[in-house]
Amino acid sequence: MVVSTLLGAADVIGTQAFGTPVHGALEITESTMVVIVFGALTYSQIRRKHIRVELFYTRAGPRTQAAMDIFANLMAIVFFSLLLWQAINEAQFSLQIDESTFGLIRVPLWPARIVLAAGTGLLILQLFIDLAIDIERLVKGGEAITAEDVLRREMEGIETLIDPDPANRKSS
Amino acid sequence: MDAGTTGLIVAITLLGMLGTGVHIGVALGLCGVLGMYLAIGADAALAQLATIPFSTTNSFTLAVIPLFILMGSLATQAGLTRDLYRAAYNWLGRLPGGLAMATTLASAAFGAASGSTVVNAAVFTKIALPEMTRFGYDKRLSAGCIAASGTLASLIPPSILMVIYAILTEQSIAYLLLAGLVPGLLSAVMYMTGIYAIAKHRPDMAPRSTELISWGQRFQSLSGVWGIAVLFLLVIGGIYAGFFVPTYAGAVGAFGAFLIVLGKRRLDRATTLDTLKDAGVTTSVIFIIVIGGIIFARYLTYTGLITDITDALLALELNKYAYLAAFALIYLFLGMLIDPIAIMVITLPVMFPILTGAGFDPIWLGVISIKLAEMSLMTPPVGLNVYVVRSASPIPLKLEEVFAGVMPFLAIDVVTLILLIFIPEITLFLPQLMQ
Repeated sequence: MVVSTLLGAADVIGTQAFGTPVHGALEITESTMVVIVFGALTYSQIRRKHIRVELFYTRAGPRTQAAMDIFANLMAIVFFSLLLWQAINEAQFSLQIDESTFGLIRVPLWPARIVLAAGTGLLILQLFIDLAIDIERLVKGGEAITAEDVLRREMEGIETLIDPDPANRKSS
Repeated sequence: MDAGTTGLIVAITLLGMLGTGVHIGVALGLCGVLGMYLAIGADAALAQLATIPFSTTNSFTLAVIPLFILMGSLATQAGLTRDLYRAAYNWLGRLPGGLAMATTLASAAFGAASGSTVVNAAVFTKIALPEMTRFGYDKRLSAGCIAASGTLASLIPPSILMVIYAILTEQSIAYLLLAGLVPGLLSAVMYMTGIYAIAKHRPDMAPRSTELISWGQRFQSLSGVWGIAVLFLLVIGGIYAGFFVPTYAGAVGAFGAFLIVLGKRRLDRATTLDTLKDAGVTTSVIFIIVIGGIIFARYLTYTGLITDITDALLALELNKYAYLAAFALIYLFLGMLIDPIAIMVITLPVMFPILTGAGFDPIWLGVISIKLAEMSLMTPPVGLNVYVVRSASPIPLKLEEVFAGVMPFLAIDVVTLILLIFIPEITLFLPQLMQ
């Protein structure tokens, strides 16, 4: 489901890139942005790509790290739950009044609002899954995550771009 | 509760959250909501959460960010870096320090398609470091040169950081993109001059290449790079001439980069899919920080804290360069903890009104901020670019070697920064021409 959202988003960026001045292109680009950001949100969380201060984290032991992750997840759950609550209200209101853009072509705005709420909802689910994993780490202990690991995660993707052949990539 | 007390509570909560590793966007957003709740009330706080996430993402102007990211990823996928390096080497290889100068030049040129410092540093570590080592270059010089040259991508348009600065300070994206061009080129020329001087002074660190390259080969190697040149002229020229707004420039750029990928027959399904996914993830990560940052900035503005702080600091009536120096120190310090985007999101709501109040030009300030943020990527203990070079390196490198290697480049950057500060025209003449 996440992947399909992403594919959808990707597809739209692709066609957007053709950039001919079509009526409504501007409005559609706007809605597309919501799809990209909130569609990819859960996927970023799965890859744990969110940016944070690593200075203390990478110097902590495995259990402390797990505890920090749990705290970070809880905070994220609080923030995004508040956001979801408001997003659902906004989406319902938008549907009721059939909100749309002004202009030659009236593009409805409620689909983007629903995507925003749905994307946030999915993210919260993923945050709970990660929370469970982190609690398990807290109980069991395990290997600490070093600055190296964090960096390796950052660099995922970049390597694929430089050298699409996986055989070469592993050697370095 | 009065604004001062809530401000203190919010500031302490924010520091606590950041220190314990809460995601920066979440920490800023939550603290903004908390502050608004304490100072004004629950309705005002929730209203921010209802409007800002949607208005920030459902924005035509901000669509330029994913499009620029996509343009850069596609340009990387097209293998443009190798072609650029080959061409730069063919033209500069025979000079003292030629290989390192070629790295700087190619990195600057690649910055014209990509806006990411980290990608630049990683890519050139893979391509240029083995070459320089093969010719007997000192590891520290090669690694330092790559880490430093990577930072050029953020000044030379397209630059994601520039766009984020423009959004946070409500300045023209077009002017800011153009303003970065000359300072970016100046930084590159300064690096190259520095490399030349080092190679002249210490030939053992950068042995001269004896490889003979004919003029025919030189011109032939340009054939691989005309695509990026055309793309750059189209995107930046288009913005300059006012043909299109930055978002369409981004679309044109991404589409052009896609054509280059096609033309070079580097289009394979899996890689392209990865490219698109990565662009999506990077976009969403950036936007969560921007959304959190805007919520936090709203809180600061609505409760009048910003005005109070600005007035109090400006009432000191210090020399305007004293304010700038404080700003620079804070940037370099924060650069030890977090990445440039987060630095800008956290500091700009407070720093921007103070510095513009002290009489600095907002566009010029953008260039200075980004130059500072990029310099912080090279300073110990956690200069990100230094880590990237070390980690991407196919040859064993010690972190200390890379840090030692970037030192001369940091010194050069200090000179460049001083030039940029005292001769604002370097930055401003291009956007002024456009007006």
